[in-house]
Amino acid sequence: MIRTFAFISVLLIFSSIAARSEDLPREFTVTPEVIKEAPAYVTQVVVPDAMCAAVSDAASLLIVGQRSVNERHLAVFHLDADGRPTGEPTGITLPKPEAIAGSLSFPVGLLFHPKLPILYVWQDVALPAGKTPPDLTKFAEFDHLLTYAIKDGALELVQTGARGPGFHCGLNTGTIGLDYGMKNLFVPNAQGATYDEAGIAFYALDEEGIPSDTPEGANEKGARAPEMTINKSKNPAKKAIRVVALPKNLRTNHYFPSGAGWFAGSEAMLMGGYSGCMMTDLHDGGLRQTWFGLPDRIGPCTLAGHPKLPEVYLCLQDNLQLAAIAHANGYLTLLPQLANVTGAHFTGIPVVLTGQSRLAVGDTKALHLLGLQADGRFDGKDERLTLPCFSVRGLAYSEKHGRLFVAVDKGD
Amino acid sequence: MMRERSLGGGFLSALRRGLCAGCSARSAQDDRVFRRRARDLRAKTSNVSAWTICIAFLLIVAALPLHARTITLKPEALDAFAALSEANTINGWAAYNYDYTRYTADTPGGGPATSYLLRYSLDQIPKGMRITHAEWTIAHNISSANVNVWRVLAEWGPGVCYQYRATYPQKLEWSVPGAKGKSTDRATNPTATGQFVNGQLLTVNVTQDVEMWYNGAAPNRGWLLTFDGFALLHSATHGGHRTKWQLTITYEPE
Repeated sequence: MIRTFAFISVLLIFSSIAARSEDLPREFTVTPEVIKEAPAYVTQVVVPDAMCAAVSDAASLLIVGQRSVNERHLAVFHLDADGRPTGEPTGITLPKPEAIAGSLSFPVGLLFHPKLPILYVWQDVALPAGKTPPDLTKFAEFDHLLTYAIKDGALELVQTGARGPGFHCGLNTGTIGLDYGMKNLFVPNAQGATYDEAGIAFYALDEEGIPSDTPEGANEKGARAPEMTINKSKNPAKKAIRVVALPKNLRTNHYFPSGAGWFAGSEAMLMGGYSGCMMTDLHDGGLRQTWFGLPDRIGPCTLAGHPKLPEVYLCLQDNLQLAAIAHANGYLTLLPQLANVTGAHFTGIPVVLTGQSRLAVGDTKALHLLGLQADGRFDGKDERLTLPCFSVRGLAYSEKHGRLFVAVDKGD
Repeated sequence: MMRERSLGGGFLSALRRGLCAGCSARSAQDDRVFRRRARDLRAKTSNVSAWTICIAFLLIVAALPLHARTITLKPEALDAFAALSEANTINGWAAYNYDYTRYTADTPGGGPATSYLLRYSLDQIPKGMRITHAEWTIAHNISSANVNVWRVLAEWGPGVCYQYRATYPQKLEWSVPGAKGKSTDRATNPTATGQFVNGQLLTVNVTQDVEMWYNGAAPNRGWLLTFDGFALLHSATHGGHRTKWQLTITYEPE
């Protein structure tokens, strides 16, 4: 009798929980529905050890960055009229100084300029294990920021920069972002006042999209200034190698990484970072920042913004928690919606699938596709697709074709 | 429930009577058979009784004329929050400023120039109830400031900040920045007033507001917290102290 009573009580409790889940509280837990077949809008490309990816509808290019020991850092796919990759990718090796020829360098972030035939690449280099802080002198000439021009579907390196002690090394998270007006390029992992403290920096872009002069405003005190070296440019006046004036550099008062995904609002810039996200306020010509420590658990967080709805998504790395946060012109607002996905170990920067109203997030050997409501908040559902890939980080979405590209380690 | 039990018991007695009627002098074998059958029957009737009890219990629970009940709404029930900061008038999450360049959202620092908007969802209260009591615990950390709790009158939403009550999809200003407009942005008089004492949580009576919101006499636009001095609060959204924010509501059937 007692057992029967207990059984019915348990049934009652579960039914009440199920009833409540229909209302979807602000913080909820979802168990993914496992799907065995990739949806039609998911296109897999084989690029082992992918770190990042970007797609340009205008140039019909898909580029995947990989952490490769064979010095092929970028895999360049040409897309056909339907947005499908054609043929084998072209490999590109990223430059690094002779002094660190034996060190493993790798791309961490890729960004196509939305209106100009320009690709920005952020690269980093593996540090030797041991000493903390390590000896960074041999990385003094390592350029993190690479600017490529796209000519007839081919990439031509036109500039390198963001070198020296102004930036941290040895990080596998951090990318670049354009502001709302596409006048400034934000870069990650600038060195703060101490070895542990992250900063960010941003560079003004010239009319060709090439990082150049210093944005208005002086550097914040205490932060070391990154440098920009012009190696080569389409502009003949910039052919001489020179160090441009100091870019704006901001401390974050937080650990690395910084710039782990950017979103440009019309009045403020958002980025992912350590244990939260930062908002850089560009209002009235001033520049202030607000730090939002969102997850209670600490660790790197990546961020992605919805291109059409006032919502950003914050993803605590190697964890199961995602946040959907409303914003107004780049200012975070109201309260976050928190999704705890059972069994997840999220990795990389999420990608919004506007055509499918979903958020794609990488995992260990899997891809999550979380449903979004009409206002951009989570709808409480998640699909999990197992992939032949140790860590699913190479995600890119084509708005034109409504296609999600996923880089995997090997074919089926 | 009791009737079922007596039925079961009567049936057993009848069986016993029937078995005994045909044989005044039972053999030992007959006695064992009788005991086994009686045991089986008891077990069956016992199961029937258990199910009956459970079903009856459920029916009783479902049909119970609900008595007064108290629920505690924790920060999970908060559905909106904003900091209204004179120092950063367009950022609704500029909750604490370290200096003029840096703010945080997870350490709320209130003061004469920084107030807070908080709104709870009352969806957890069933329909057809009457609010009999509501009290709100405001989780401060370090402060001796006086705090006022105001019922907010003006609608506010995405992008709410010191200057605007919403900025998305369009900018709408408070009648007085900081929601200071009495009888327009906020009620004419505070709902409750109290003073923070270090080491103690401040609890204020907000029955009237909750009752109005629940009844639909006024739209639920939350409360505005204002302070006459510096007040370091526990975050309602971050960290282990957030559960100290509690809205306790007692209600009963109308």
